[in-house]
Amino acid sequence: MAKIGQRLKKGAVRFVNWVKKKDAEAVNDKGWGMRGRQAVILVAAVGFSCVVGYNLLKYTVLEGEQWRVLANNQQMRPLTIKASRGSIYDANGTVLAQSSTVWDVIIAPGTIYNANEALRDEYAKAKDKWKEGDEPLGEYVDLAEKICSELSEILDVDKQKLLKACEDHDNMYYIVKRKVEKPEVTLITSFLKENGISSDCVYTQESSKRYYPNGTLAASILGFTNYEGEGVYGLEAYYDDYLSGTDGKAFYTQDGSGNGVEYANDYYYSAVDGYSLVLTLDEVLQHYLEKNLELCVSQHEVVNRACGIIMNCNTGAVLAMATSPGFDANNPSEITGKYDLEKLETLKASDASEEEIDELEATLREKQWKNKAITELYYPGSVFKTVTCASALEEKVISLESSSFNCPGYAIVAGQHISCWNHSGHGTLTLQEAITKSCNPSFIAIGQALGAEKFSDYFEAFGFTEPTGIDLPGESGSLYVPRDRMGPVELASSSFGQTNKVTPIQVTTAICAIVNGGYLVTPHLVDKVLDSDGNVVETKQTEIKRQVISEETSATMRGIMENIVNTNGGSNAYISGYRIGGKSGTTERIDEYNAAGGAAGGAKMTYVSSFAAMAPADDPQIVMLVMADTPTGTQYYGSAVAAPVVSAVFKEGLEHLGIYPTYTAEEQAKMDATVPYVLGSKSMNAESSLSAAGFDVRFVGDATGSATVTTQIPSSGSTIPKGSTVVCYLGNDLDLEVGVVPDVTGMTVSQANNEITNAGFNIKIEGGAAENSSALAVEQSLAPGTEAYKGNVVEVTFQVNNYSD
Amino acid sequence: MAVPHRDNTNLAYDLSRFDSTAREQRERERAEEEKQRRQIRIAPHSVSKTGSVFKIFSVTVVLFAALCAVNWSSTAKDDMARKVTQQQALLESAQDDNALLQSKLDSKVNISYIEQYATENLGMEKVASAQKKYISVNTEDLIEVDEDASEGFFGSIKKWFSDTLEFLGF
Repeated sequence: MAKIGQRLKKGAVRFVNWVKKKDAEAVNDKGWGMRGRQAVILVAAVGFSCVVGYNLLKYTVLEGEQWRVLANNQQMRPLTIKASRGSIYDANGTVLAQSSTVWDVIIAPGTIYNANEALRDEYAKAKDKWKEGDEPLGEYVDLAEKICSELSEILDVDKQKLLKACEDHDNMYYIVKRKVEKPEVTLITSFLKENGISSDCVYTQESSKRYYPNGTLAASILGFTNYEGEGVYGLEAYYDDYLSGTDGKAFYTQDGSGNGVEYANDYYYSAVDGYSLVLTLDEVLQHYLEKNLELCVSQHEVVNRACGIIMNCNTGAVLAMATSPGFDANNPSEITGKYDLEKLETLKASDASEEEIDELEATLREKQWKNKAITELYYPGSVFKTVTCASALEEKVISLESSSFNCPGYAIVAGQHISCWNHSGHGTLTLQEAITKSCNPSFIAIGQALGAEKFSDYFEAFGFTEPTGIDLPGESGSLYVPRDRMGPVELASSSFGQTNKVTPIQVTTAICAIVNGGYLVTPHLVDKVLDSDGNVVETKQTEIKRQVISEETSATMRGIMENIVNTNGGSNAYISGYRIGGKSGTTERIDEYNAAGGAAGGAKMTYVSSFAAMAPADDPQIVMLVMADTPTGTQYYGSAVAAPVVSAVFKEGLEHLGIYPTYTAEEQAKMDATVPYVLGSKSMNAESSLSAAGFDVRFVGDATGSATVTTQIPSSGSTIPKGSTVVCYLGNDLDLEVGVVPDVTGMTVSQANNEITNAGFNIKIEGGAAENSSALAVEQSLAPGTEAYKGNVVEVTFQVNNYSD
Repeated sequence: MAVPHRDNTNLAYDLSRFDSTAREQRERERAEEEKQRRQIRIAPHSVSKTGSVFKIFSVTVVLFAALCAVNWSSTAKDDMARKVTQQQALLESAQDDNALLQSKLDSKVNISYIEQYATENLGMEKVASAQKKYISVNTEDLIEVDEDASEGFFGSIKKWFSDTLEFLGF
């Protein structure tokens, strides 16, 4: 230890002496000594600082902007914040259209190929290294095969098509399927994770899908969106700016892993979600209208579609608007019309090329998307007589009380022979009779009394020369004879609606003006616009364009229209308990007839059947128009084809609107009664209950004994006319009597009643025109020839089938 | 005879140049000056001179701790913000799923389906006009709660107890 200490001490002394020596050398050094080295270091330091300083200046000031941009591009990630598309609701808040997030599934064939090659190499290496006793390797499964198998199973797509797409190794983007919902996406994600497949091979892109929960309901009004989520038809297109909102943008600073770093955002612009629309449409009324239009199209074999409009005549709010056949807004590409499908099948069966078939398909698809009520023109026919009549009354050229007309069955105007539908003539008619019987010569006279100038004025005033301005895209203008070309023949045929072509919405709006006190309103479908929080941002007000006729004339017209429906025991539009006014129309499609060569060319005349109605007649709230284009069944008159639709819809719909029936004493006496419950009662008690309810009774079995009623037909709760016979079976061991239902189609009410009653059944009379002397049975609930228990009720519908009715 | 001049002013006679003592003295002085000049001057009150190492250490530790705290809080904030964003994304996704499922549910119970099911599957019929009777009510909707006036003393105590329990949430 002592030696070590001595050595350390010696070393320390030597060191100190060395330092001293160096110090002394430094003091005496006149050349490249400490000072020189200091100078070198100083120069180096200054030089280095200058270089650093220059670079700082250069990169932060001189080229600062450029480098800032590059840095931002690297560090900051722009993110589009997608705005949600607004929803569409009906007047009662029912969702008609709503968006949800979906995904497009995409594969990158090039990446799959590269990954497959890498996996194959790995497998080959593993196989080389494999020796006896190791875990079996198994067969190598091609990655593309694996992916395509799984995707085709999950997404229900053609596997071979996918495999073919994967063969294109240069392609990095192939859409497997669009608009895939979350459950399928979750399955795909799990598959990728379980099999260690990179998301560069298969990935998803967020998209959105529009759902229409009610399918075909109001499809032609709502329209639909394209793949990019933009509205292309209907309200989706018209209000696309409101519904789509504004996408936002954010620029996030991201860390090395690509995660966003909060509180480091430089820019953030929130998305403004789309506004939602609350419509004036009533889902329930819309359903009733569509259901009955569909029935009409099928019963009367309507070839060119039918349409209907229900409007609040005071505000212009459209409560329902339908075209039949329609389409499913969730699947607008599918053609649904029976006649359209037949046309397509016929073309496919012929030698037509693929191009021709595709062209026809595209044409038919376009046609089915069009809203017939606003896009297609037709001759309004006798419904237009209300406009001529209102105009003439307003000008006081005719009078309800004093005017009279003569109808020999035709009129000669400027040498032209114009027939009445009743070739034998109506004789002398009052104004009410002229319009009720829909006499063409009478209206030619009214038109002549009005004059071409005044007729054109009122034609324009009622809105027929311009689109109505309804908030839907694609509204057509009308085709009409301008006033400077209105000669006597044109005036004559225009007076009864067989010259000018107009849209159904124009006719409906004009009828509203006739019955609501004379005010021409603008029809609209949207009532309110809401923001994403449900606050009202806009409310549509009633827009009155002008007053066309006076209140007095309007009141007169209401009375006239009500009398049309009530005359002669009622028309097909009549409903017990309601005051309804209306006018039917049956127009010849004369232009198509002439274009097809007319009678000489063997062309067959086709018709458009329509009916316009208002209810209630004393204080109209709603106006309805139904139009069936080219019915090809046994009936084509407006009163037979369109009026029953109006009647059916009003019957179900007026109560929904809060318009309740008020029965007169006569109507109440004719009303059906409910069959009481008499099972288990003795015959005397059963008889008295049934008699008190207004029914007759027929006992089967021993009525004098103590047996009770074991079976009653009809059952309790059924509503049948008073005076019907209830069959009561006394005792248990009795066979129920069976009868055969007779065919009463085409019979009058009394004839049908006799047939059915004699067969042992009960008749229930339906149809507003049942009391009309010319009403005939058109339909019965139990098919002719059916075997049924006696006492059962056979509902028979009666209709009139006249031009005027 | 003249006395030789012994003032040593003649360089030839500058004996001090040959005197090593003075030279050595001068060299020592010069070295001393050099040493003093090189010596690092330490402030009289400096920490290192006075030796407050503990203070330096403490301040360093405190500053380091503060730096770590700031860094940790920023990191924690970022983590929380990230979690919030994730939860928001989950919420949006759940709301979206809800909207989708609600649409699907609505499509199963729309009015057409209900009517069809009621008539075809359940054999129901719509109520006929004859089966309905409409009554006009001239007053507005009114609900009257009939208070039992004859509770008595014990009844009112019981009511008080039940009201208290209801208030407390039992």
